[in-house]
Amino acid sequence: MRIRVFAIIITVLLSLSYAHANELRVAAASDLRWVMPQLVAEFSQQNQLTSGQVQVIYGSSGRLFGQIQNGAPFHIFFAADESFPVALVAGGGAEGNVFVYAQGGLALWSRRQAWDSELEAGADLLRSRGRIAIANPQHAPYGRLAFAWLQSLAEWPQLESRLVYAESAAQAAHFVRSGSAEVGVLAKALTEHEEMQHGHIRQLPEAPKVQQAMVITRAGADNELAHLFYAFIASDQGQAIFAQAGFYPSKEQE
Amino acid sequence: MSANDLQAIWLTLQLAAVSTVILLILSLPLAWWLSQTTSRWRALVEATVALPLVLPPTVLGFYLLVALGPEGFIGGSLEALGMQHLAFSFTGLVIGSVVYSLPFAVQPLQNAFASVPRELLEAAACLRARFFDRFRHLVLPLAKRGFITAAVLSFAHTIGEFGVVLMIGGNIPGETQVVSIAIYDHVEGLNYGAANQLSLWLLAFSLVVLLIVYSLNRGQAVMKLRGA
Repeated sequence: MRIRVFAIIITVLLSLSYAHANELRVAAASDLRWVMPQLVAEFSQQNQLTSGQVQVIYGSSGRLFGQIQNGAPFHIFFAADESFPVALVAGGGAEGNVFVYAQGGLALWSRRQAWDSELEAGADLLRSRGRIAIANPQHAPYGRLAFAWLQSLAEWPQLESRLVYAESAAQAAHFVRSGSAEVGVLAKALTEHEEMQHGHIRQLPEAPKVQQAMVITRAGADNELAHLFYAFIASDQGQAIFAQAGFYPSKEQE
Repeated sequence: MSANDLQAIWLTLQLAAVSTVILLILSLPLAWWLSQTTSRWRALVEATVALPLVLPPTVLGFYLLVALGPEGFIGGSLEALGMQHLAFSFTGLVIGSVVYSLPFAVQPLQNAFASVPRELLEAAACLRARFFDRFRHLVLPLAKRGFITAAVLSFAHTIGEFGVVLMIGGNIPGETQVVSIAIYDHVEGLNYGAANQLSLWLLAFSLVVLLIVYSLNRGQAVMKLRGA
């Protein structure tokens, strides 16, 4: 009797985990946290979708890549660089074209330290005290970018020991926001958020840029919404939203 | 609290309930065997059961992801049979939680079974009580508290799970986004208000659960004294 009740409970609970037929799951690198809701809102309005139909799952490009390779049901993958979508196509996790949707740059953000634009960025950074947060250069594209930029500075030897590594670009911002790190070398697009206006931002237009690319995954190959969203991102309207959110235009648009 | 957060709470409770039921069913024979056996394999089995206590959840999550995914041993076999692989599904999360919380179910039960006096069981056997009779009328009532502790701890431990579900769940709202992941997502999105609200909920819940366990255990100590 009791076992039967358990069996019924388990069956009911398991059956509650259903999947909708007509929905789009977007896997997005965490530097897209501010821009993606705008893109989704505009896209949903144009196509008269309900609010739950497009879901965005954020994470570091490396983790999302690994999950898609292991069968995650994400239909379209927005990485923070080109290498992950290219690798996904090479590994059979995606079939379509890899499209560079924007270029991302870097910015410095600190809550307490005011920047001095008279100084070179490296010297300015050296004036700060405490920890410098960047995303992990081993798997996060913005970490790689920030690391490469820092290494190119004359002040690198003094700065190296002050680095702390976050899981993703967004977590690096969170380290600074919470005060545990003094400075963050962050994705420029992340500094456009209103939360960031509390602190001090120094743009780094001279720093290298990353080609951010997307691809439709194998799971999304038959998903109509994925193809519509892909086209929307490439459209002038989609590109304008990226530009407004602090991204540089992708080379293909120039 | 947003609809998304409520969904995460509901999903977490579902996950914890299903995992606890499965854990109790699995642990019952395993804990009994461990408490009675003199086999030389006992140490190995005990060590294996205790592994999730030591291994970082990321290691466990990584192995589970690889095993349950379409390329893996389990997920691949299921795909070959025409079924879905189990990574990034609720079922996958249940499997992950069961592995992750196994020591929390087995160990209290094993201790409870081991403390059932052997003479009592032997006396019952002399009175020709069959094994299931003895088990039902002697072992189960005497080990009741072990059951409650095992159930509550498995439930609570599943609620607090993070690393494993992040790896094999994929953070999908309504399907695999549990409370701990939703909090992580809020923190990364700098939604400190929402993160705070959910965290407080989790904190209060955990405190209540632990209070229940400890008051029950205190009750047991008092009973033992009276019995003596």
